[in-house]
Amino acid sequence: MIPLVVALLLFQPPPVDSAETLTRQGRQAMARNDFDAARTSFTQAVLKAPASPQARFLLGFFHYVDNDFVQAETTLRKARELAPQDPRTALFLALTLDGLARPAEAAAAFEVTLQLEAKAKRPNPETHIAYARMLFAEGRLPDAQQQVSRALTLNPRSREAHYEQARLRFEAGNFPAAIAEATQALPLPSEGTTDRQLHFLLSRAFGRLGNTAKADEHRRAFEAIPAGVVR
Amino acid sequence: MRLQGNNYNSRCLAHLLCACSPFFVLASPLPAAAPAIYETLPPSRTGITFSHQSGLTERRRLPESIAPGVAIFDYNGDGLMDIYFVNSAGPGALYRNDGNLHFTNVTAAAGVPGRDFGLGVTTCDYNSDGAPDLFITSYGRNTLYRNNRNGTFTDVTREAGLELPGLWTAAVFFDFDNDGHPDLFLGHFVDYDPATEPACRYGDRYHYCHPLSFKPHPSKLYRNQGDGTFSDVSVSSGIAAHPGKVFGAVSTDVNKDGLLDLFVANDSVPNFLFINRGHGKFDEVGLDAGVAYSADGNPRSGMGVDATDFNGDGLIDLFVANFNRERFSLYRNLGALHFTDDAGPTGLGTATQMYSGWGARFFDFDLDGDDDLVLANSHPDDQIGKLSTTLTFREPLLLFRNEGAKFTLLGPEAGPAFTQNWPARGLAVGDLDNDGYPDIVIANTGEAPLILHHTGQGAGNWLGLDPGPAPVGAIVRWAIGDKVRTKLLHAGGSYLSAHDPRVILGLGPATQATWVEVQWPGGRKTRLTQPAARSYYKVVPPQ
Repeated sequence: MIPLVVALLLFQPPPVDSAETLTRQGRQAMARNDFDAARTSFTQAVLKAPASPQARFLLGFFHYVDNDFVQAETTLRKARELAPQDPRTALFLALTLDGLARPAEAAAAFEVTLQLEAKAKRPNPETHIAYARMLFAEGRLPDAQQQVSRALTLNPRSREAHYEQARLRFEAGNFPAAIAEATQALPLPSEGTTDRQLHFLLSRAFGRLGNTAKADEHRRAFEAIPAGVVR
Repeated sequence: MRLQGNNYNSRCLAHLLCACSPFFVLASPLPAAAPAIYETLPPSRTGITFSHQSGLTERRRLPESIAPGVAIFDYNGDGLMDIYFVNSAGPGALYRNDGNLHFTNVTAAAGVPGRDFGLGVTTCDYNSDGAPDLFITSYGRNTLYRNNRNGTFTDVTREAGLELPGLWTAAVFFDFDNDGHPDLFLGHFVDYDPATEPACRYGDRYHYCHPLSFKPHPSKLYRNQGDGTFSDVSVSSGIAAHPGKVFGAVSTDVNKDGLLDLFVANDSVPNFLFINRGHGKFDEVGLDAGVAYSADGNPRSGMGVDATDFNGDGLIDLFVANFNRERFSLYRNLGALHFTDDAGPTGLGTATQMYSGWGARFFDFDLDGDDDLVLANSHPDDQIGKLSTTLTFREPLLLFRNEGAKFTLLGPEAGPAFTQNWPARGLAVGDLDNDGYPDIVIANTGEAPLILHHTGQGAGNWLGLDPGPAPVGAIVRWAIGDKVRTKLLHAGGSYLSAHDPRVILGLGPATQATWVEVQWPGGRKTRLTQPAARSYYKVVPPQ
């Protein structure tokens, strides 16, 4: 999801309200991981321009990235009121509700996002991937499969989509297909899915097929790449 | 209370039938809500005035956030379960059960204050004299207290060969070599030295450093030599080859080969599944088995653990309580040493996503025959609420009913304690008043414990087995008509805590079991035919 975040930040429309400077400063602070400065800038931007959906979205987005989902929800809901047709705000509201362990509401918000993206003729495979990951975590594998298939239709070279497809194949016990999907994903450019994730899956899938040599090979590759900090 | 539709109509109907006055109908109280499953017993009722001292400092030293554990066991053999509370910056406390849910502090008379910075506790009859002994893990030196069978204990740590300083957390007594003497797995948390502990801050405030700031440390496996001493077999067994950051450990038989395996939950590094290959050797197979990492290959922050056959397929499943946002793990055993995480489909994933879990226990609170689940939660950092509006230090207790394919989270009907937040760590389950309904003790960090008494509300019939203090590895089977259920008695589990060693079998509405069979380690069997419900039965291996 991080590349999507970066892309969203890079392709922001130029700020037009009086909070322009503050939002720019906030984005710069986030880019250098200075979350305290970012919080201050985005909060002041909202105070200066309370009707600005842009300022409101960025503050909500900041709270989401900061894992403060309660604040993110409040802010993003307000941003949605100010810009009800903006799929980007709807997407981050869905991700926030997922973060708050409210999957039914998150699913509804994902559906709204997909409708808005369709209406705007800006279908986004990453929305399908994020939705699929939530459904996968809930154990709703057929629903997750539907989203992954749509993502693959939109972008057949999506590493993320092939990885999710591989995970679904693995869960279904189709280990050769899981290996094929993960192998296909490995050389593709990454939007967030790491080599570590792919080697982990490949090691397990080869292991389940009894191919210990290949399982060990991918295990070594997996273990050679440090895990990110989750907390 | 507001009069609502259905109640109002039924009351009107009752009024017409009994010709009561309308005034009486309106003034009469509504039917009382069903009593809660668990009532909280206050210190004035139990006599338990113990309060844990976490040793909290401004500097926020790592060991302060870990403790405490709690043990339920019958130290004096009077048939009533006593309670030991671990303390960290003060003496621990042994409370003798006087009956009628009242307890008396007998720590001084029994001689079990603990030493150094206490963290966890377990119990076991390590010397096979029929009386449960006490083992306390610490930051510092652990303590093995031998039960003298006269209400007192003797510290025998040094002569037993267990005097070794460290940051010891989970201790599990289990007989890995099936020689009849319980051996000891001793889990170590991170490689910790206060002199080199990094200073971690939010602004001008210290906070507990992430475990990634510390290196992993090997754990220990000790073989019980049968003469009151233990020998260190950590290297020869393979255990020492896997440094970890152990918080929880449970011994069970995941591959049904009659040898007890070990599942170990680590914080921020992969979990271990040590498969017992016999002849004193263990293989670590966590990654291949699918229990070491999250579905994306990330190590999680494993803390509490437990094991049971939650879906009745005859295979032992594994559970880990993790950190918030990681979701807790329910690893369903697929056979052939493969597992899949069923936290999502069972509802446990969503229900635990916002919490950090410690104490965990599968047990049959509604006595319908399958294992339900209770979880004790709290964020490790007491200052988290100052940084986040989403997370809090104190978190709710969670009680789940096993509905087969789903675990359903109970609401207020579980009891008032389940509607409040607590700084919980250890959790132990046991029948404190011998009424057959499992009670719960929660060990809070820096606070008084919680004593939760099962009121009997909504529970089926039960049958209790008392197999003595060291039944680990025994398999209990019981039948109600044609329906046969199985339970493997494992060791360890939860978090730094020990449960009542007796076994309570849920019979549902049946007033007797068709039969009950205990298969002891080694294969001998004890069988009860048509035992009546609502009684405990002493069971011993046949000679």
